[in-house]
Amino acid sequence: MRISTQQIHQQAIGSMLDTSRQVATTQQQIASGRKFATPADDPVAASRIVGLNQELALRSQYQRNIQLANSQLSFEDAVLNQATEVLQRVRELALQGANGALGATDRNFIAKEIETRLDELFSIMNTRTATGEYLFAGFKGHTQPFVRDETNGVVFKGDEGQRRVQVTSSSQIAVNDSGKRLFMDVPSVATTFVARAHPANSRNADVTIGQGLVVDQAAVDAFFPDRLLVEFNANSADPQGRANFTVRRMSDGRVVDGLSNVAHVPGAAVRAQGMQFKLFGVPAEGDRFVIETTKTQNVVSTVAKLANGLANLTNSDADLQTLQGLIDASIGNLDKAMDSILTVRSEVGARLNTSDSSAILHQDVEIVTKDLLSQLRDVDYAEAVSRLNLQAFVLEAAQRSYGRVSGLSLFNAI
Amino acid sequence: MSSSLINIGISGLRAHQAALAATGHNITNANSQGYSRQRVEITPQIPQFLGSAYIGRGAQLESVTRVHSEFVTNQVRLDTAAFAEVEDFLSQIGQLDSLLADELTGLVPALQSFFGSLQAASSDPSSIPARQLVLSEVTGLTNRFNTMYDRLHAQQEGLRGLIATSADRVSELSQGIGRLNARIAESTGKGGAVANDLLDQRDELLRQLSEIVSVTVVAQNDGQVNVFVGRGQPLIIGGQIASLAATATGDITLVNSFDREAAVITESISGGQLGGLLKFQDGVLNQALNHLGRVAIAVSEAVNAVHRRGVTLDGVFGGDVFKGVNDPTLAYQRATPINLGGRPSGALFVGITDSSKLTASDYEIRFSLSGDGSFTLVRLSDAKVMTEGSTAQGFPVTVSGDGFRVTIEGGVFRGGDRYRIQPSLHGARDIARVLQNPRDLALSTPVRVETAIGNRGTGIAEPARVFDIDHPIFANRGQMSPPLLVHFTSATTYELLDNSDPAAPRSLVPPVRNQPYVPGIENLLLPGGTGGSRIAAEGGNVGRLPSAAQTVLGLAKAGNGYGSEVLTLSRIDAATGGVASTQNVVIAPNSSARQIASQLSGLSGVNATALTEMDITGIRDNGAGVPLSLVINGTRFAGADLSSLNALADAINGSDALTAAGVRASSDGTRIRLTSMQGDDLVLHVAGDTADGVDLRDVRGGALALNGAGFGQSAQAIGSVPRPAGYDFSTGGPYSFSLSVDGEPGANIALGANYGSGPALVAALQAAVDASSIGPGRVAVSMNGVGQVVLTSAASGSNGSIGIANADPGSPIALALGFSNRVVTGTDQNRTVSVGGSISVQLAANIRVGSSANTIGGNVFVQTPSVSRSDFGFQLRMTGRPEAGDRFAIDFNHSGVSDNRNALELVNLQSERLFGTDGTLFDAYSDLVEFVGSRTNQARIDRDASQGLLRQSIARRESLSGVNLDEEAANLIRFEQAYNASARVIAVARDTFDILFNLTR
Repeated sequence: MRISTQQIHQQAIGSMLDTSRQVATTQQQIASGRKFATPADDPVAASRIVGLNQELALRSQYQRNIQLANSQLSFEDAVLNQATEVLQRVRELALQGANGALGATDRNFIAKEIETRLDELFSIMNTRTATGEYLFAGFKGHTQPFVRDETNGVVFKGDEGQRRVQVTSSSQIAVNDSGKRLFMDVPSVATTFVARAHPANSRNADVTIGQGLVVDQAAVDAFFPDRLLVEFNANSADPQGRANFTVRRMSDGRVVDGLSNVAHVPGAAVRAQGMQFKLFGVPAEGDRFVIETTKTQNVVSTVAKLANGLANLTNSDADLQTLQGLIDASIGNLDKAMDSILTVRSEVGARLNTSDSSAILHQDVEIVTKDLLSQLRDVDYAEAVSRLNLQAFVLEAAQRSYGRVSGLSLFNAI
Repeated sequence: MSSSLINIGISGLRAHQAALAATGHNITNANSQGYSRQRVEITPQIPQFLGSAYIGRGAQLESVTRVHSEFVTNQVRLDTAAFAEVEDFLSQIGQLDSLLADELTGLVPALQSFFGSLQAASSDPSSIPARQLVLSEVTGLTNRFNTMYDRLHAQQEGLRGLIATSADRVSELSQGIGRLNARIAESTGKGGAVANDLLDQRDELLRQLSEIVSVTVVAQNDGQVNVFVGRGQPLIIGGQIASLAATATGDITLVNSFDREAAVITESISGGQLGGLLKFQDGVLNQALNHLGRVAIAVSEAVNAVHRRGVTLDGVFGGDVFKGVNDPTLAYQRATPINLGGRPSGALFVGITDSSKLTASDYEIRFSLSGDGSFTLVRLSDAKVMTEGSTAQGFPVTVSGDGFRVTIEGGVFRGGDRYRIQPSLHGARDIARVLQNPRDLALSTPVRVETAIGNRGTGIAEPARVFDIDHPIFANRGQMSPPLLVHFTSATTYELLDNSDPAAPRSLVPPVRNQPYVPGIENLLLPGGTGGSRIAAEGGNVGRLPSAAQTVLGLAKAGNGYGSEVLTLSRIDAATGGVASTQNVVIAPNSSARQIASQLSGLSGVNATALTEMDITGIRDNGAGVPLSLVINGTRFAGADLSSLNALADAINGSDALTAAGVRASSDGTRIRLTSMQGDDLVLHVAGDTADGVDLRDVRGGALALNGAGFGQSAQAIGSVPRPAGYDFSTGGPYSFSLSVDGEPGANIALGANYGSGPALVAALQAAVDASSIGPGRVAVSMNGVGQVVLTSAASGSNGSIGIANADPGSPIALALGFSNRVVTGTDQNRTVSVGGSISVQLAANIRVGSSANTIGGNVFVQTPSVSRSDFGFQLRMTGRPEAGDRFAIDFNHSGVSDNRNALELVNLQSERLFGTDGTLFDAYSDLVEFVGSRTNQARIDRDASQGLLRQSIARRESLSGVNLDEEAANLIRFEQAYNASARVIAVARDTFDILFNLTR
């Protein structure tokens, strides 16, 4: 075949350029440690690398979440442990109080300690976390969950929210527990009741309702789960124009125990369906109070009632009998309160286990993913270096042969 | 003779001088572009005939030809175009590829930081610094999108410049080729010789042209060539030269030389630099921008949608985090006119409807050439016609594409007008943060559930999804209006109440009652999804008491007064809004609400519940004469049960039969609310003196005093047990009782056979009575409408009585007939009233109900029932086993600052399949990386392949037409020697002449 002079030069230069491009690519691979410089070198691997990097980032995010969940749960566990210890101590004190040989003064001392313990318990219930949120307030982290109330003992201002943290792509674990469940809705030995004012009550009137006590357990048990509604009527409904109220049951609005248009005497005990409560202050027409029967009793009431009894009951036979009943009930309720806390603590423990096992899973997957990433991305040095040697050799050969060939010309001879 | 030899020598000199010149020309042009080596053809001159022989006359220059093959030249042109195309494509896509290559500058780290900051905020939702960080990362993300857009856009701008330059260069080269065409035609005319160098020059220009665009060259007889681009669009026809131009949208127009009319030929351009650039522009760069824009739009839309459902630190719904994707300024920019030629553009609003369905393609609205206003929406990636529409009926006209909607709002549209629709092209440019205050980040959810303290069951209710924050229930800022109460009426049914007043929850309008709950599994308590509606039976007869005149005398069941009615159920076609199908439901007259509800619930998409209510507001008994008795749905109450409303209510609730039938009573001492939970008619029979009775009130406020009718003419004894299971009196029989009827002799009646049926028993009893001492015709035995056996005495008077004694309490007589030992006075002139119930119907989306009722306030349903939404904009999830009376209060999540549920929802977006089958945000981005990468990779392979082909065809051309200096050196020597030899011939001729000359001298 005929070859033109231009062709001889072009071919030689072309092949040298190709070879030097290969050398440069290999050199770049060795220098960067990466198999490829741009996605075009291996589009499928590049796309998988994006995915794997995302996977790694997600895993490390989950691990951070797990660390956070662990620290919060451990904190909660410690706080609950403290609460249990307080209740344990109160229980011991209750047992001491049951000793018939004690005098009123001795019991008073016990009552004093119980009150101190109650304060301690109260501050535990209002514990704040490191970020300044109330631990047991549910979602209302900036609202103090447990507020002492002159007449009601304790009011829960939080809610039942439970914050969750994502620990794997498909699972979340709760990192807090509502104080309502822990300290308020504690199953009680007997049916009790909770009284509260209707939120729509007139602001001007300052009528309040006291927490009261069960005076006829059988009647309350029979009435449960119905509720009572205390409603103030127009003053005109009373023959003497006094403030007066009617007590109805909520299920059908029927007046109970004939408590219709009862004249309001602030602080006087009202007795309905075995429950006794007191209304204070000056009511306005339409003010309402709801009395809910419940088989729960909050832990503060349990402790406060015990302290009250120990402080105030005398050594008369009747009082001693009441005291015995009170202490029995209190110990039962304290046990239930500790049970309630223990249930939550075991849940906290289970959550810690879940988060630990998730963390181990993440670590395992991380190792596998990194390995895969390295296989996809990192260069095989032995192979790359030997390839470079070969390519350099070919380039050198091309250069040397070009030198020889380019020197040949017939014009040299004529 | 010698003169001829001289001439021969001179001809050799001439010929070889020309050959030497040609060789020199070849040597000097060894490196000229497009040069074809030239060869001199030397031929012998025509010989001279000298009588006996032909004598040669020397050589002559036949022609100078270029060594050239049209086929090879054409091949080079084709391969040049192919190579230039991939080479330019590769150089462009390579830039894009390296932009996407860097893991650190890509989108992934920005997305990761964004979601990471959300995770951090979800762990501590009330922390302002954590929220601030989210905002900063949002900015980081939008900046990253913007930067990537800018870089792609810069490349696009550069590309537009290159395309314009290339188009200009095509025009320049065309001019040059045209000029050469003219010169070649001119020179070819002169005696058939061709100007080789002009041809070479033209071939070289044509080769250069094919570097820019693929052309077809057709040679003409006069030596000129015609050149076509694309699919036969004429670029050069003889001296007529068209030109190419680029538009602002990167399209190519061909301006022909006749009328300077511009036609868009972008689609038909292929090959060469221009082909490569256009292929990159339309096939890669626009797609990459669309791809990136799609990710940006999806992030904006998804984050905004979830965020708007959340609640901020200040207890209100969140706004947009990112600028809304359907902001008008953005929506109008998505449509660009292509070929209006300076006429004003129409107004086209392109809104995103579903970012998950967006594709990376561009679209076009193409108006029909007929000019009748009809148009098609075409997807450019596969030229598929998506929808058709027409502006003939006026504006606005809306057509839908893949996840977007084009609304043509107005303007002047001519036949053939085209608008490019690019829904996601600018997505990455337009993404911006609009949320300013970290407090406004909505990390919590709007719904809170409070479990009542008195609950006995283990049910746990929690808010699930909020799907429509525009629901009227959220209309008041930071409130739920009304707050709701889930009240379990049994362990398996619940009702939904308005809890605005927690002391007295009341029914919703229309009511939601009798909802089923399945214990043990997860239940959704509220209707899900939007679009469903709720209607109630609002007709004037619903729940109405008849007037006193309309009450029925006797024990027959009075009708509830509901007339016959035809309900028409229309199913609406969601796409067109028209009625797709209708279905009629015929309601028989006097159907109970329960029957109507079950008729309706049998239809798909309809769920109806029924409930019947009425009040008893008073019981009156004058104590004299006939005592008052009351039969409620077949159960009789008398005596102490009627002493007060409370006593009656307790007796009703104590009746097993009524409890089983779902009839409940609740009395507050002034009225009994009587309820049939299943919606059966409430049927009351009152017997007693005309002054005795009960006061009734219906739910509409209508009142009726239902009084006894006093004694009838006859005394009646009614068996209290209706419809015995069997009529077998034979086993252990016969059984007897004694009958004492006022004014008749006492008699003993015995029954002892198996009677098989009610009528047989009645006949046997009649026969026994007739055969007794009473005698025939005095006491009639019959069976009433409710299956009770009735004895009626013929004696008239106001105090007749029938006494039944000695019936064995355990006997079939007592059990089956209900006759026990008692005296029945003639109390049984009953007045009967029957009250029907109300029906509340839930309809699935796109179902409407109309009624045949044409008198307002006259029937069960009204003609066009008022419709309210059946959903509440959110969903509740409940598990566990509730008990009757358990309550869950649902309210707005006030001060829920530590709630992170919406933050978790936001975090979930990173693993949510926002692009459907295309996967998550990250998948979509890695798709882009892979798309560009694989196209680049493919282009490299193509480049190498077409480079190989080009080299081969160049080699063939070079091998044929190229100059080999060694060959030319040899030719130089060869021709020089021949020249020298020719000179020698002249010398010889001179010598011979000299010899002859000397001879003669």
